[in-house]
Amino acid sequence: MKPQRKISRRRFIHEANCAAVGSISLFSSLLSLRLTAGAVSANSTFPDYKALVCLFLGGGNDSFNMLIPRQVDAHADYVTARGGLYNDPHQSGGLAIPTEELLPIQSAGQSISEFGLHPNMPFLQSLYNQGNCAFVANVGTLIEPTTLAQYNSNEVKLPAGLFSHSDQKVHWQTIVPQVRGAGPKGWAGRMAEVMDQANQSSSIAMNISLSGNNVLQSGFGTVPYITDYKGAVSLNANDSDLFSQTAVNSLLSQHYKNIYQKTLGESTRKAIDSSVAFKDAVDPIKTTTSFPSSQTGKRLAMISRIMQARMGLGMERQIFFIRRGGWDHHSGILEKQPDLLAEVDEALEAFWTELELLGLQDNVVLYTASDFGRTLTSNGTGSDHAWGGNQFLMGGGVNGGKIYGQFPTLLGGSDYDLGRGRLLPSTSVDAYTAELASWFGVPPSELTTVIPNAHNFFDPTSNPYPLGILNNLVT
Amino acid sequence: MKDEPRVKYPLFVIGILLSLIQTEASVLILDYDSEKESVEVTVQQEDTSGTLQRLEVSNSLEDWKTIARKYDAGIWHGTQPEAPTVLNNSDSAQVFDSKSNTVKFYRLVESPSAAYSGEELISAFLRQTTFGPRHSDIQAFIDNYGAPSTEEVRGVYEAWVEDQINVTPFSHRVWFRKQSNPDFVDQSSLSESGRNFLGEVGHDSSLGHRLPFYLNSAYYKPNESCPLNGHGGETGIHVIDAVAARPELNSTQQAKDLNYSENITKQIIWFEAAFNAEDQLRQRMAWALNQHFVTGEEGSDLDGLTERWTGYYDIFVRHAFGNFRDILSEVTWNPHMGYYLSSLNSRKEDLSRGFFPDENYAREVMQLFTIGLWELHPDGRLKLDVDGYPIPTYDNEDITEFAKIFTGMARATLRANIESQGGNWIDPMRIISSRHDYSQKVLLDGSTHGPFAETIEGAVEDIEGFLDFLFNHPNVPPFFARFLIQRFTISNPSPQYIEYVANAFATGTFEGQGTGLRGDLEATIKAVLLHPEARSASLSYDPNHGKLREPLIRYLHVARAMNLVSTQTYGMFLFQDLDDLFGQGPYQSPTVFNFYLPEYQPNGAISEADLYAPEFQPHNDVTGLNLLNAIHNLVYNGLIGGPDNAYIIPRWFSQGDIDFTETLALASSTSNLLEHLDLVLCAGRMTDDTRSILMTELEGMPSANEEDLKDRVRRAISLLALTPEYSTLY
Repeated sequence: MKPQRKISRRRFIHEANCAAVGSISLFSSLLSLRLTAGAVSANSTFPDYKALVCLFLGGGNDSFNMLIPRQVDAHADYVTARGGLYNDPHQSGGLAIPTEELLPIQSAGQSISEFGLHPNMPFLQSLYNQGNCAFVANVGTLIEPTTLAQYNSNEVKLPAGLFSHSDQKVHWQTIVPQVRGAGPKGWAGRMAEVMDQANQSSSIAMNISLSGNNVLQSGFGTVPYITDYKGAVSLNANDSDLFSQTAVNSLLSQHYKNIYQKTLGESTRKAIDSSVAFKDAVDPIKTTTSFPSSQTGKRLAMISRIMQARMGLGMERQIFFIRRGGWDHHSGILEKQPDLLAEVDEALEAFWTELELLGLQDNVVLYTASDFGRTLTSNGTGSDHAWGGNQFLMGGGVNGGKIYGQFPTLLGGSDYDLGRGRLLPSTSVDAYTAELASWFGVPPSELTTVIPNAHNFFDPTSNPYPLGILNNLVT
Repeated sequence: MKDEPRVKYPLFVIGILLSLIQTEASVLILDYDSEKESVEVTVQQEDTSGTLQRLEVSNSLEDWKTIARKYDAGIWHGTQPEAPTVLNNSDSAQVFDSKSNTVKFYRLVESPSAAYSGEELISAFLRQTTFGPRHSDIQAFIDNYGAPSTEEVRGVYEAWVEDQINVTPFSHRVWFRKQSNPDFVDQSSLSESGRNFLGEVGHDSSLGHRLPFYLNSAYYKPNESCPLNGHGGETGIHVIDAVAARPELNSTQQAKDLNYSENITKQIIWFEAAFNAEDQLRQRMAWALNQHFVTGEEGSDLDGLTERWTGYYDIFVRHAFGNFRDILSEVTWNPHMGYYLSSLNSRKEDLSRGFFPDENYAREVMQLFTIGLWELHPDGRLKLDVDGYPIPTYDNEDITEFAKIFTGMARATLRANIESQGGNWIDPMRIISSRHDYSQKVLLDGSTHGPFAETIEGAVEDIEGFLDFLFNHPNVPPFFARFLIQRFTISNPSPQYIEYVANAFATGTFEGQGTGLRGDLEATIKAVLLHPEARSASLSYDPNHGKLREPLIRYLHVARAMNLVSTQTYGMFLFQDLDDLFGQGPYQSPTVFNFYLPEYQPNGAISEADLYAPEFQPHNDVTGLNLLNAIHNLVYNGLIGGPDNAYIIPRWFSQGDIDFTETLALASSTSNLLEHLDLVLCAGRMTDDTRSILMTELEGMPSANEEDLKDRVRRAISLLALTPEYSTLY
């Protein structure tokens, strides 16, 4: 067993105070957050509406079966790594999709130019070819740039709890993977606090979740407003015998000392108050496009309604979160993943159609995230927890039609292979996130609040778009 | 609670103080001896019987947090999250607080004595141990055991627990088999390796075909669409008879009564157990264990194969007061778990093609079921290495190593007399030798395991030997102890409480009684329920003490307390998708990580105090209000569906009615009604403000006739349901 270097919160703060490598800015920026909250808007205006949508593929999408090398040799490596073709008549257990089934796309800037998408993603293919969709290859959670040799010799700090769902999905959301748990809060929560004056007239939080509580959208002093695909829930809206408003108000105005009571009372009160404003603005709005009735479809339909209600809600900035679970395909991957990819593709098509009808396609960026990538090797009917994986973004502001980061060779024994086809990420979530945060309006001077480890990967001041995906700003 | 806690004196702080200012309220430390490891605060030992003393610290004189406390007949001890060391002497105690670079203030706070009646103490106990007490449950407790005194920790409570353990278990599989397939025969007394005959009772012809079932690919509903001879089966009650039994229903309603989504059948059985089973503590224990060894509809398959799901659930019913090791084994071999965490059909590595064993079960059996991620002290605190780092229990190389152990497992061959859609999901998985990896494995402590004889017995030895290794890992007692405490009593147990429960688990004894075998769950649950931290009423004054109740239990408690009676043809409760509605429902955990994590921290006071509150994870703007609406809907309209968010059952006519007999008799006196509801629903915790708000509200409502009085009861309950007093245990 290798000695591990997991970092507790206590250790982390201690190291930060001692200005240990890689953590210089971290603690101070987290600490100063409350002081700088709203600082951005004091000197800025928000003339253009912007919305960010996180589509979180819960469980760990096997994304090397979503974006696949199509060029002859590279595809052959892919087939070998995945234990053969899934439809090989001579042997079962392979996970690779044959060339002829892939939906072709091309990309400049990679060692090969021919790629393919999973056959169930025709909409994404067309969006990519229109230049409104881009991929980021082999992206994952890192504390600092890491090579295979450094990984093996423990020369660098590694995320705590690698390969575990509960840790890695949180790290994607805090982007402070040296800390275990949600203590550093989510980057979208921190971002909303930096920009909190963008929605001055709104009683609804900038962060809106369609999938319950999450780390991404929780800040130090803010929590997301949570709704679901059916719309706002208010206290007994569906009944003639209404709760007595006076009594409810009085009951929830009590000051409780017990922390569980206090937290419950306050959250109930907030839920009731928010639902009133939300319902008034959102309920009257309907979608023009017909959305699929899938989990993802229903939620994207509601998101498009909330976007349309932005004026009524008094919001110039919105951040949405959807979690679609079910991607932990240790088994049955060939039956289950295609259905999920189809669900996503169909829902995105309806969403894009609606955005175009609303004229919002340039004001919105949707991006994907997931717990981790999965092993390239097969366990017979599925794949296991790994690290780096592929993600995509869509929106009119995306410099699309391109794969960013470095698409790795998939043959076992490469410079990225930790064994079993577990790939060391070649691009950090930090760089991916910087694109989103900069586009959303976080100035370079505040970028380290949102991305505390940024300095380890790029200079946030001179290079706030480290990958170059979203730097053609819509004005 | 009538009285506010008061601040009292004196305190002594040891160290070289540059300046020490005593105010009426606190001791102020401006600096202290930097040579010392910690700040040493001395408190006097005083008699705290029936009361609580807390030592608080602040760096602002505004926000105070508790670091140590003493209550009842106990001694001073550190409290979560930091749990500082405390040295108790005969007349004083030293608390060793952590150093910081800021000014610190300390003060001692003494609470008034907690005055709860015997009935209220029983109600508080039954709120922890059942799906919610009815008034009659509290009465029966007093009749059978007498009322506890305020400081009683074991006594009558232990007597009740003992009796609960001896109540005949409600088996979910048995309940299903008795009233589903008329061809089921009794094989429950058989015993054979590789077969699970436990609960394999025969069909009860007096019940007929009340529950739908699968036989091969055919689905037999208990209505006119049933392919068996005669509607509703060959024997027993037919749909036509059922219509006659409920003449008030029209045929459309009648048909709907017996026609529901196939995934609901197992939930019907679960609700039957929660509502009506006498073995409430066992059912609560099973529910807790099922939240530890999680499976759920999301991520599984064949939702309508009821015997598969109830057969798995029965593991926890059977072993609720048995041994953890037996559960670990049964869960590991159960094909339903094998499917869920994909050990089923995992094979040894095939290097020629680059195939490797599935890692899923190897990971989760450690992370979630036994040892957790970090090495623990016996009292649950993290072990730290010399540099202050927590120590991981395993790394990914260990996962790949142990994945080899869970190979070669396949489903048992299909046999008769079980519910099936073509496969056997009842009997334990079998070994296919050619697929098992018999090689030697290196365990977490560096010891070797195997190699094993390449036989079925060799594979069993490999798997069971590894489960033994995990079971005997020193992490298991504290890891499981904290889990179980959080399910029943409080969210942030002190290290002493965790160690007390962990010790019962490890030694197999509770206060000297028990099997003496590690993993004894009877001893463990007694330790959970009968530790002073679970029982003391004085702790209701500790602001960090308690927990948010599970949303499902909050719903069920109202339904039970109001004696909800099913009006469905066969007296069953048909809820649907409660998880979607308020964040929790039987068989509906979203992932193997359950509805919530033990370490979930909601934003706000709990997060700022660095404490945990699992049940807040599924609680949000949607689910929180959905739950309140569901309870409101229940008391106003009965068990009935409604549009969108109030849609708790798939019906537009009531399938359950509230029984107002008890409450109506009290409703002419608002104060009597509130006293009753306070006792049954809030265990006497209702605040004076809540009482007075409800008094004003109800007194302002008409009371001319019975319907008016019912409305008062309805209003009272639906308002009480949103109070923190009802929603939390403390």
